[in-house]
Amino acid sequence: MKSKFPYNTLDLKPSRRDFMRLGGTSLAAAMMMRAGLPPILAQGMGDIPAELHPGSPNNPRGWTTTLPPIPEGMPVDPPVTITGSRRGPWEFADGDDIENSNFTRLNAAVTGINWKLAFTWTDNEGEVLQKYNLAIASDELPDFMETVPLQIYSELLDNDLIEDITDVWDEVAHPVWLKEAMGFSDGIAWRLAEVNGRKMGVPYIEQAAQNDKVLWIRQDWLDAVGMSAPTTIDELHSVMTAFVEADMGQGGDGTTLGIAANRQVNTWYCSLDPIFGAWGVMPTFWTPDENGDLQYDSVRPEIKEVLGTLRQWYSEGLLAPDFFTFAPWQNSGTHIGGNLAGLMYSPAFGAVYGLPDSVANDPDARWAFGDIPTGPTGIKKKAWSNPVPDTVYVFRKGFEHVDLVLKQMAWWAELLQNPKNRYHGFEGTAYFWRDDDGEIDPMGSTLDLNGYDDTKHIWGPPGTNGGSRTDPFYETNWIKERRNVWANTPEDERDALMEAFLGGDPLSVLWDEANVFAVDHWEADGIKNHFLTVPTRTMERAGASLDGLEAETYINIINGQEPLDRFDAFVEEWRSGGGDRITDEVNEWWHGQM
Amino acid sequence: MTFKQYMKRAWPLYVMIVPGIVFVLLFRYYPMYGVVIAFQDFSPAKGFARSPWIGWENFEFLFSLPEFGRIFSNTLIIAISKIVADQLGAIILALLLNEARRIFFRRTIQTLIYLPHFLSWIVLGGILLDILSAGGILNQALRSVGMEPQLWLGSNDWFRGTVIASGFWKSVGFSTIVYLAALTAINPVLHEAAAIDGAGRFRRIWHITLPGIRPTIVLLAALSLGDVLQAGFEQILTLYSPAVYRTGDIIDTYVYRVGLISAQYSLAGAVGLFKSFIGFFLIVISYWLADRFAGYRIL
Repeated sequence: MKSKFPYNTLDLKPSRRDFMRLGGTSLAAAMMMRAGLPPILAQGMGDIPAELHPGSPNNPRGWTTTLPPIPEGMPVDPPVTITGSRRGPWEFADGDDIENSNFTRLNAAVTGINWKLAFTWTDNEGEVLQKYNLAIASDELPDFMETVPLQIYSELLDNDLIEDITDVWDEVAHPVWLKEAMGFSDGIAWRLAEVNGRKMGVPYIEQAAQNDKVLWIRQDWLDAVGMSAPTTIDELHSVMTAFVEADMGQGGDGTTLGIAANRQVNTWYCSLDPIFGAWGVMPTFWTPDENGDLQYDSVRPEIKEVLGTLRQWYSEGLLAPDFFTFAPWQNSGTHIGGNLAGLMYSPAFGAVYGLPDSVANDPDARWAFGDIPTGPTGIKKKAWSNPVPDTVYVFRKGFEHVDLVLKQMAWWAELLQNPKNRYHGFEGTAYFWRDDDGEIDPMGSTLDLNGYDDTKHIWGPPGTNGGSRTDPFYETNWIKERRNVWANTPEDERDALMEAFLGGDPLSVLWDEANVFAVDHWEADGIKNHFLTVPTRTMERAGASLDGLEAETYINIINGQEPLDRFDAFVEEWRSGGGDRITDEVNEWWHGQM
Repeated sequence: MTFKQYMKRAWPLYVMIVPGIVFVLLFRYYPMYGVVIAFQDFSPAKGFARSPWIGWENFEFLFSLPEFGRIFSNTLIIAISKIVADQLGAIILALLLNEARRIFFRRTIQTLIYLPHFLSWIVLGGILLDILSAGGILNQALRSVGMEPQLWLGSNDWFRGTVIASGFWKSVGFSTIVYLAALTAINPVLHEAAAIDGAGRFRRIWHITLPGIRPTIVLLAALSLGDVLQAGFEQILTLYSPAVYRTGDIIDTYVYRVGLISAQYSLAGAVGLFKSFIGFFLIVISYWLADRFAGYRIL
């Protein structure tokens, strides 16, 4: 399977925007590195002892990590101790722990902050609520609260337990690594963290376009039926029909599917959201209508056309007869891994989720990705994946050192997110240097060549056990750096870090390419869900009922158990069953926002 | 025997029972004050003491749900079918295994039917989905003998049957073992005497084995009445889909979806209390039944 993939080669020159993001100091540092410079202590970081540095600068082919300048007024003297909550689990070697590790030692040297663990949780559903509720009930809130779930956040707000950080933020937040980085997409990052124009916390930011779909397609099947990649929904229909008629699949006779789908029409894997998007609507999303009010897309008339189309496809055998019994994660094994489907709308990470099974089961399988096909009126839209999950970082009311934490955040953000700094963990924490053959030895999954999870032991963003950053383009910037700069470095000049990252199997490379592609189309092709706050009162009461009704109706229309006109009755039931009231409540919030 | 003599002999028994009583008091009775949240608009920040009281509102909301009739009847139908299938199946299996002559054969079967008991529904759900899917092994087998494939998990005609059958498969081994244990308590002399009198296998089962385990049957059947609203949350959550809400959605899965939108402690508390109330009622009835038909009394 090696090197047989038809990569969609993309032009990946770094944009002007990338360079603007990178700030002057780091460019200078990068230039110094290019000039073949040298031991770390020569870089003006005399205050930080060499043994605290990340990277492996003292090994023959080890790498140098450039540290950003120490923030003004830091390290603070005397040092301060700040308590914080953390999501676990973690594992440390050699007597280190969460309060005393490579990260905290470097952090203490740079900022003068010592972190103390208040409490931790590992289960992100029940346990996190329990721990926070306990802290609230016992009046023992930590200074800094990590990844606070939405309902805890609203409880804290209702009870006035959170510090308003607006003024401190305006004064000390770093212009590039905090303010600018978090200003993407019209400031959507602040929808939760900002309440009535006041900043009540720091947004939790994941990577851009993480769940934005591309069309994954079996190139070898396309070649076999003599067709090219579909660019319209009609062409998509022809390709699906051709796959099914030629029975390209690996299963029993007649089990080939047109496209992989599951019980959720708008979801994170094997989704149908780009089909709905081709008609300009997005089920479960709230979008602005022509009057500037928010409308619930699931009940818009265009949906009926899409359901009619899907119903037609189902009756033609293009969808699995029981697609609606599958949850998204179950598609990867049965339909994709089992080589029953040669098409799916999945995110970039689909390259390493499902496709590896597919290739293992059929060594001739060659997957490629392409843009999503356009609808009958030329619309090309998909669900915009929001990099701001329903969680925030907040500070305890009365906490005095918000400014220090913000400075710390900016310093680590710059260290991690500027690829020119070449941060990739500490020896002994993320990897071991092996002198005998001059190789690095990743420790388990921590030196994950695509996941960057080795930073999860830092306190507060951009660290945290879950991958939050301050810049949603961080990962893509790294990919671009690897592909545009590192890959152009002559092989004999590459250091161990470059070598580790430039290797990688074809599917990981495909993942990188799809990631860059999805990020480039993120803003232009995405339909955004504009309702981003706690559920309204009527949603709490009637939401489960209405959501159930919606899911049931959609599925039963598609699979032919109910007539297409059932949709009209559903819209009426939705509106009278609480939907109208929800719409009013949502708009009350929406107009209060602006 | 005086009380003093009795205590001298029996005190270790009383000491042994103490941890059990403490456990029950601590973990079963002490938390009971928590049921107050069913009548509150509970917020953990305010706690039990300061959360506002709202009377029966949570119950009114529950009973006024448009789906309440549907989820209530689904719960009852699935739970009762499961109880009946499980008890009948376990009795029959226990009798069959009891008659098996080769110990090796009996032990093997016993272990095999007991095995699914140890797997979680998450694991079994994934396995069942593969077996029962449209292109799965069961439908392929049906097709190869010329029968129509069915959507076992996706059609309202089959979903309950699938749930009951798979629940049976998972739990029957455990129930069987309880009955097998009861069967060993029957005095073999009775069987020998009956055999000498010329009774065949079926006669002996009918006149000796079944009457011998009658108290166990009545007791287990009666106690299982308390489970009449436990249709199997985890199982249904892993197997169902919106297409089968009509026949497969139960109270627990519905409340779970309500909780997904926002944690509603009070509503969950009200549902728990409602289920406990019905369960309590049925336990009382079943205790009376157990006394009436099996002579089972606590005091």
